Amino acid sequence: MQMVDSGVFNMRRIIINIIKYMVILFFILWIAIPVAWIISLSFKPYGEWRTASFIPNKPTLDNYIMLFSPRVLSAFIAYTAVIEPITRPMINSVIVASVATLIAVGIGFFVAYGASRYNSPGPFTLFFTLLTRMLPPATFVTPLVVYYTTLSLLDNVIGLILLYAAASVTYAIWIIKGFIDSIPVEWEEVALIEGAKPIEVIRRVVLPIARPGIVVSGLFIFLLSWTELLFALVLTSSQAVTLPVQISKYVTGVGPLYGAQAAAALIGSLPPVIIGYIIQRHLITGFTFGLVRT
Amino acid sequence: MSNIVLRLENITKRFGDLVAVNNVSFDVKRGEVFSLLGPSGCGKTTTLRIIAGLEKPDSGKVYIDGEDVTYKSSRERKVCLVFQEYAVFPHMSVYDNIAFGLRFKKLNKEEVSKRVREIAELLDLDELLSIRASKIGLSEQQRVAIARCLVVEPSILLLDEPLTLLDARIKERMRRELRRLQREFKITVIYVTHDQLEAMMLSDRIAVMNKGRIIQIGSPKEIYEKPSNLFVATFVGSPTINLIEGVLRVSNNRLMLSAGNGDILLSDYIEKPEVFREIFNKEVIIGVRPEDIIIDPGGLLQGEIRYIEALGDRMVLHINVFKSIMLRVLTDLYTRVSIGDKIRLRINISNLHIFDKVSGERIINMR
Repeated sequence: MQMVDSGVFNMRRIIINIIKYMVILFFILWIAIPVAWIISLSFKPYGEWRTASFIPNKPTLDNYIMLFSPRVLSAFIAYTAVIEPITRPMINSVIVASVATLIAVGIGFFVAYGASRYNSPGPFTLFFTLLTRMLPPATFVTPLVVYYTTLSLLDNVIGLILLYAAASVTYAIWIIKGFIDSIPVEWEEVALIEGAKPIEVIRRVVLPIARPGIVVSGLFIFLLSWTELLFALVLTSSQAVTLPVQISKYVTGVGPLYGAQAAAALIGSLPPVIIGYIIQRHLITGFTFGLVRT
Repeated sequence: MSNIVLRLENITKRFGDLVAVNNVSFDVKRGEVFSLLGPSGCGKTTTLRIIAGLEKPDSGKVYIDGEDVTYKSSRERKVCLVFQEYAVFPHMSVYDNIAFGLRFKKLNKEEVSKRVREIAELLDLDELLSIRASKIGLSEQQRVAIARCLVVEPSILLLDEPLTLLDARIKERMRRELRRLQREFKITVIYVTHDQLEAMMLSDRIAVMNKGRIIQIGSPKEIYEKPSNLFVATFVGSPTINLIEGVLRVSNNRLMLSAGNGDILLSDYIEKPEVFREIFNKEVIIGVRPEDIIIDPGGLLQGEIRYIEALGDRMVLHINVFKSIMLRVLTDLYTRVSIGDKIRLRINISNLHIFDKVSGERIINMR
């Protein structure tokens, strides 16, 4: 009797597992197929851009070469567009995203520390740091253009850095605050009693424990800044163009340069992947939390 | 160097409307174990934090080694605090935890290592030095916290309820350990606890606190034998002291207590009846410790056992005497009694505590 029961039970478990893996498979494909398609597209010659096959017939690096020296291949494409090389937008993007991230995380850490350790200015005020994220971003576009014109920040990487840092600092505050909240005040007090100056307390006790939070919020803010299109499109024209804006510029009179866009998208997705790989140890603690309490 | 390591003068600390510490003053002598004993919320931990420099008093002065440190930061005071939850840094090894305070002292690496290893050996931590502190047990964490303090050679070691988290067996061992360390280092210890038994066993002197005030300061023996008021009498001692309200009378060397429903004869012969003259016809509360009531066939009180509480090696008999008065009586485990037994009791009059009913203060000393 018991045997039959456990048999039925096993049967049920197998079915549940099958369903589970099918769901997982579905989501993997959902994410992986477009990526695979972009990879394939980036190696396709101009003639194959609009074909439905997954494997390029005549794989080529033309699309990649086109990104760096567009004029070389202009003869090959039916219509010659005046396109800048991708080098400058890439450098701009790296500068904008990393500096904005450093500023946001730096300010965020100290605001989070203050908000966690001292009650003022109260949870209400802290909540309103989310204000920049409560309205549709498009609402801010027009006033920003006006301000930035006056401040000569249009088409300037500094303008983008300030904007990205300001808009994302709230994420740093909230994520890092969670980590600092989990540090008992006694740990800091012990350090003070043992002879540490307040800044040493932060360096030796608070920072090491908040590190996963800093890393996670940093990666998050970097990704947001790295992929931001709307404001960059409006606020830049030639000098401060970022990668996403540049990708949107690969459009000619006869249509988008799909191959070049795919190649640029792949190149653009490399830095986040590399960074994510390097810091994955911190990501795991950052996302799962809970290490701190003993 | 004077014999006084720590002096608090009229320390007051408010948190909003709450007066956490109210005009507290005391001296602590070098090498003594001084306990702050009181129920939770009595201000003992706040007092400790003021000594450590973690809170600034609203008024009053703190002197350490004769120096006014009231407005100095923690790191400028020669004190160290072991928190109730030990506050061992989980992201560091045991070694780095112990060495933490030495890093701010401009010592070379060899000196740091030498001192850490010395302390670690004393506290039996030498095999744990390389382990991450998040991986060790509670009693080890406590020893790490103590080592981290002792290694910086403070004038005063502050302990905030250090044994509360430990289970009974380890508690006993750590209590002995603390005493041994204190003697070995000849260090002054200020010990905060709500556990009167712990305070009694560890301290040279105890300050009993309630509602932000110090009620009584004295040796464990003094506190136990001459509680200065009802609060101390009831807070110290287990099982709790028996309290009976009434008016004391002496006639023909017989001591009687007129309680609500009649006279209780406490003693049929007292030597110095004049001691009681000042409290004649005054409403008092008398206190009798459970061990000062003795089962005696010739005793003057008669009662019926209502309830028996076993404490392991001893028993507490709850005895109903004189209609509605319940007395707790401490006996050894081998006393042959059972619920419902009628027995006679004798009160050890020389250990009687007499308190004023209105003020709660101790009125006369029997001895």
